[in-house]
Amino acid sequence: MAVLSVTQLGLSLGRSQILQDVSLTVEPGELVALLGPNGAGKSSLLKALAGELAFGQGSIELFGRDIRRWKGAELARQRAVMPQRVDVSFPFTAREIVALGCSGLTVFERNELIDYLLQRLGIGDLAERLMPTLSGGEQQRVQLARVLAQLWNTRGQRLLLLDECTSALDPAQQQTVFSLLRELAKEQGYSVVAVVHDLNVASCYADRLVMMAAGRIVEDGPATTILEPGLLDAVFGLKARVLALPEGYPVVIPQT
Amino acid sequence: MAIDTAKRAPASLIFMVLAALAMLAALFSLTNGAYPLGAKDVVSLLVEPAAAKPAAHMVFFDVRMPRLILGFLTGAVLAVSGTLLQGLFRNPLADPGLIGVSGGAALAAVSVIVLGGSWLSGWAVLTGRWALPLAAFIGSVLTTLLAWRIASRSGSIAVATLLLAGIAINAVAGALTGLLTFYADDGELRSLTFWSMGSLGHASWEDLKIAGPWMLLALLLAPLLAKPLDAFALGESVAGHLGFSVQWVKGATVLLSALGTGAAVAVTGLIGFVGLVVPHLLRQIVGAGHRILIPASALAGGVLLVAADSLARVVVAPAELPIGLMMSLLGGPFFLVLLMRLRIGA
Repeated sequence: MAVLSVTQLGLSLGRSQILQDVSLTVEPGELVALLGPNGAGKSSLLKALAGELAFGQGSIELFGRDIRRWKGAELARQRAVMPQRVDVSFPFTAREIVALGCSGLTVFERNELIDYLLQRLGIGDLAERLMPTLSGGEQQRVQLARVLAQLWNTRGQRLLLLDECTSALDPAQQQTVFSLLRELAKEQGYSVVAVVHDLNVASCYADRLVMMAAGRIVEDGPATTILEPGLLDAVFGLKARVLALPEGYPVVIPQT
Repeated sequence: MAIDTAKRAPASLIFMVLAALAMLAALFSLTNGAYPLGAKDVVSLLVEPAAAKPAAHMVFFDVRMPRLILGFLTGAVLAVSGTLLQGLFRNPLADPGLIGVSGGAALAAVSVIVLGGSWLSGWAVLTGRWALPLAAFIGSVLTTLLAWRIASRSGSIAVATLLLAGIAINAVAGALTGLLTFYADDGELRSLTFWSMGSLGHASWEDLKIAGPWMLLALLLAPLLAKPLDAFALGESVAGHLGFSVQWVKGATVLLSALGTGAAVAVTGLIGFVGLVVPHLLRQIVGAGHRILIPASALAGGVLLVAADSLARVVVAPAELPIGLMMSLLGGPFFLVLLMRLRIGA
């Protein structure tokens, strides 16, 4: 059974049509990258999937049940969301922020999980720091740890919705994060839908690329069919060469 | 690295210190006043009330005890309401006054004081000696509900609109209160001035009987909001992602603070500052987590108000300063010094 299935989704805010006729299916263990130029509707789609935006047409099913029939607390055990930006309004420590994602654990188990996740994300020594004293990239990884903690002890199907979760990270940190996400997908069966701007990151780590433009899905498939000079030019207006690596995935190099 | 890590006292230590301060404040409040009662007398009155002189018994149990309890509850409820609303609005400047509670209470109270003999005589006859506190309570809850209605659209509440609506309603209520002041005679003017500066001077068991249950209800239920309010610090949508029912949290937070503060204001008049300062100060000491912050606010608010009330009785004895005045007089400069030292590190 598909973890996520979107059928002919349409969404408008005021008079402007944000999403139109969007259909998408995500299976267990799949890592799907959402690509597209700014304003293509990637974040709106993710917000609709997170239940934050009410939609006009079509349907969204999560784990086989209509999204509107899920209770918030129930859904929170199986699906976690990482927004593009999270502002913390009070001086919480990193540990306290990650703890918000932990439920049903003893204090000891919780601290163990928090330390483990922060360690995996390369910020193990920052647990007791106050959020406002952390850099943008560090804060982003703390939020990611919170999102991962939320599903860590769930049995059964799990869905991560990530909106540019590595936008503040350097290439090595980005690699750490996406390797971890890939590991979760392949070994634990997580389904991941991630808005990604870096085409090569998408190519390297995602099973499927979904290209959006002007509120529609224009192409959906493996990197080899999506990262194609003609399509990149049509969607982004990007003039680029695409090279096939011996590892099996293509890389995009902008042309000068 | 150690420089930047959060410096926080352990919660158990904070609670022990606060409990000790509460005892001290209580002793100070009980032994202080026109009738001489020492610490020894207090102990013997508590252990063996029947053996005491009738006058001492009366002063202790019918004057100072209710005043102490009312002061503590009021301080606790004001501080906790401030904590809840700051958490909800994600803003350390929020306090119960902002959503219309005090403006509405003041308008209703002043209406009763000025119009009690004429237009509102029916209300005065119907409610007897409770005319003023009941009106103040109803006024505070009604204005909060009005702000809530204005901010709600198709079942969801816009928090920023709620804040703005509260400010606007306060302004209108303030203007109407001013208008009534304009028509008041000298006697009425005096009593409404004193009401607006707050006082615990007439505290009685009767007051506690009508206002106490609401305040206790707010204090006992507030800790249930600790976890959702922590999540709210990351924003409404994240709280939703984490599984909290966002509308429910908003409703419960506003309702509890309006009920608690409304009840407190009804019997004590306007006492500002506690709701603003206490949570802000404590956040620097115990951190922002509401599980500790809410009970610590209750204790610290109670201690602060009891201590300020005791001082208010001492400084111009045998008269006493209005407690609201005392709070602002002491709290204002203290808060300013604190701000300059911390440079609003939060």
